[in-house]
Amino acid sequence: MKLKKIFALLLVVCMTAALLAGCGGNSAGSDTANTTPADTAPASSDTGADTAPASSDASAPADTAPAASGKTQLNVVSDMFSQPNIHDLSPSWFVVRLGLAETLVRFGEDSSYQPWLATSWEVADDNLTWTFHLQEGVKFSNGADMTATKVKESIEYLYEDQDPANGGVGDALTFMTYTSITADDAANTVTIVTTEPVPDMPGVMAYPLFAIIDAEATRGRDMLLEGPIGTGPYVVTSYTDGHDYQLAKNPYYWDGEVPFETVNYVKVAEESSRYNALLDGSADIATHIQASNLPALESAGYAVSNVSGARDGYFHVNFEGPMGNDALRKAVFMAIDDETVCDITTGGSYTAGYTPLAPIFTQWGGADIPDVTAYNPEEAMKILDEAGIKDTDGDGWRELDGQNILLTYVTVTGRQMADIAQAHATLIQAIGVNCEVKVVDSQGEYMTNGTFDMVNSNEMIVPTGDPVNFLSHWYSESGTGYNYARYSNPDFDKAFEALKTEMDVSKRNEYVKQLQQIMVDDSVLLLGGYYNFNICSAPSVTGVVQPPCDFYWITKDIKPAA
Amino acid sequence: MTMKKLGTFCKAHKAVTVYAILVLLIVLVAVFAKVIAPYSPTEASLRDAFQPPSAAHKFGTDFMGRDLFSRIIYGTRASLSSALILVAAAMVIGGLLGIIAGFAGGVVDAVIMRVCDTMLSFPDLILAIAIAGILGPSFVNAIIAILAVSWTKYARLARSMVLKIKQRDYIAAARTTGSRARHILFTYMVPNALPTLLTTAVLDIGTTILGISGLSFLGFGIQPPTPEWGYMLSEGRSYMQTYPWLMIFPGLAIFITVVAFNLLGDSVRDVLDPGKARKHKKKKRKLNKA
Repeated sequence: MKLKKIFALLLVVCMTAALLAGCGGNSAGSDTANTTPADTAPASSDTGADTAPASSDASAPADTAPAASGKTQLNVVSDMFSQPNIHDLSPSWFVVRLGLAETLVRFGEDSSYQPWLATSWEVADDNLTWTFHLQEGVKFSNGADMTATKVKESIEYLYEDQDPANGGVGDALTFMTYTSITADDAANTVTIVTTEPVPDMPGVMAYPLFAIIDAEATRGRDMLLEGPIGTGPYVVTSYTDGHDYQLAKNPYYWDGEVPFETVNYVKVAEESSRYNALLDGSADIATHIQASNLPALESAGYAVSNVSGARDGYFHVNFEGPMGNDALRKAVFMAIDDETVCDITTGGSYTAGYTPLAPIFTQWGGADIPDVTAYNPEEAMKILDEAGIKDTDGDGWRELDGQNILLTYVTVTGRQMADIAQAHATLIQAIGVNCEVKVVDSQGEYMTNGTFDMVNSNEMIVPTGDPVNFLSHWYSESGTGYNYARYSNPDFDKAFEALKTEMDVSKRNEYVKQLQQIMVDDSVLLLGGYYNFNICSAPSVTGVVQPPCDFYWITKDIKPAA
Repeated sequence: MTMKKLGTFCKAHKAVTVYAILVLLIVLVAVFAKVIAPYSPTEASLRDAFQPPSAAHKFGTDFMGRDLFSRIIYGTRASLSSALILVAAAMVIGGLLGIIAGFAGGVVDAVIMRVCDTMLSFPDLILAIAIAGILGPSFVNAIIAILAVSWTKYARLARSMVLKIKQRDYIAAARTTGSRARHILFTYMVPNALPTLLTTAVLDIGTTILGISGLSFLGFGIQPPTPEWGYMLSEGRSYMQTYPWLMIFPGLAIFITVVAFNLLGDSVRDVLDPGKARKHKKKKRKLNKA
């Protein structure tokens, strides 16, 4: 009997202990699981001895006075999250967005090339030899100087990791390949000789994959756990994959005072939760708030920084399916009331258009290209009737070559693409063509296998300040792993090949315009709209800007409000 | 005569009658959706999106300009039929397996019940999400996913019922008189287990509706544009602040239906299993006194 009581007591104690253990989870701000001491403490390594922060008192941690408003932590909620792997294509965006690393060149508000870690650059007459003049006095977050040699090592490290021969994915090689890189520490220049002309070389150097890191120091750590050692204003102190990042100021930052001691970046996938986090003060910054919520935010004194035109929400059209039929494709394009879909269905999250590249990029002449498939359902039905695509069995849907047509939209829900697809499907049904929507988790396999009629994509059109990468989607040599539409047009291929190697800017623009014209004439890209993406911020902070390139989110310019 | 019987039953069991009428109303809404709904549930008019509730659109319109009232009325069909099919399938499959396990004993019992235990060791909705995720998003797959995790309850229940009566004298008598196993199963075992299984099934309908709505909400269930309450909630959630009716009305529909079925289930249990109900009431009285 007594034994039984003792046993029961023991059980209760165990359960209570388990209960308390469950309750005592770490709050986001105090998680120190992945702490990287090398980053947060001033370096005591060999490089630290001669590059001690004596000359940069202002940035030494002990001397920092809290900001005027007493706010020392920046709280960010976002729908995006990646591991801090600078050598992986899309995670690299993340490293730059968080302010962990910087690039030689950066994109300005107008997508022009601006100096960053490099002050200037030039190309020799051979169109192959690029010389970058580096900024003086730049330090990595471990206190080491960013010398020309370090920059050379950083790029070499990237190509070593990316080289398919070493098991890499080879993304960097699609941007450019080089025959040599030479560093001149005395002149503080780096010279890169490319294997073939790379007209958008400064744009390539502005791409986050090419951010400059201390290769030697980064090799010695687990990049996936601790992040790379870069030159940005903040460093990773810890992160929980898929959930949050804890950042601290980089005590060695080269470009002025870092405004916040710490940054708490949390992934919040749900848009309404991000919106509410802004409203209740638990977040200072939120990314991608739906357009329908913006007026309320603005009237409550919140800042909305909005960008349009840099990102297309569109659908690849499968030329190997029924949509390969010219009349059907043209009619489907004409059935889409893009103004209504963008303004009402998405609530203004998208801006209507028809050219692959938004007309705000005036250099590519979108405004001069006539819209041959403007919304006109009557005309669309006439085209179908004339092409013999009629409903002969009386079921209400038209047939193609005696077969009932059923077009399938494959789409993910992100960025309201599923809403757009549903609206499109309704409009296409209105001209008598049956159409369904398939909402999926990820559209990748549908794209490569070609099991779609329309498949969604939401893509930056000028990732390097130049649309050549985007336009290669429709280049027949790209293969079905990238040319998802399975589109082939010799005229397009010819102009595209010329664009790829042309160095002269005005001639390049002419080629791009030509390519756009072909795409509009052939009804190749079914545009949902130009995505208006935004970063919203509370009155507690200033200087929050959504750049068109989408590479810079947490910057040194974001400060506590006075 | 039967009408009179029904009358006396209703008088004796007022609660069941009231709740049954409520549920019947919901079923009628599903059956006569075409008559009740003023518009087609899939008919979209993009320019009329996001209209607040008005005379023309009682519950307003959604992001595609579809009439929300009509969609909710038609949504009753998806939610009800799927819940009923699911519960019936789980009861039949789980019940039969349980009876077989209890009756056969030995290896058959061990195998069936260990599979059952294994299924029970997973959190059910999470497992359903995993199954639906692997099978791909569709309504049938969502039902299969929930079925895969919900049959176990019935199997355990049926087995325990069978074990309880297996040793009774009349079973022994049936055996000695040479009854076949199948005869014993269907003449004695099934009728004995059925009332308990039925009560559990009615009680389960509410939770099942929630489960299906949950999967649809997460995007594993019905595919657009078919109206389904869970998916409608999911569509409306990003407009919670600006157009709250997109969430309020589907939410209310789920709430009312689930409550109605739960109340009916409770009262049906009281009728079919008076012993349990009396105990339940006694306990309640005791609690009240305390």
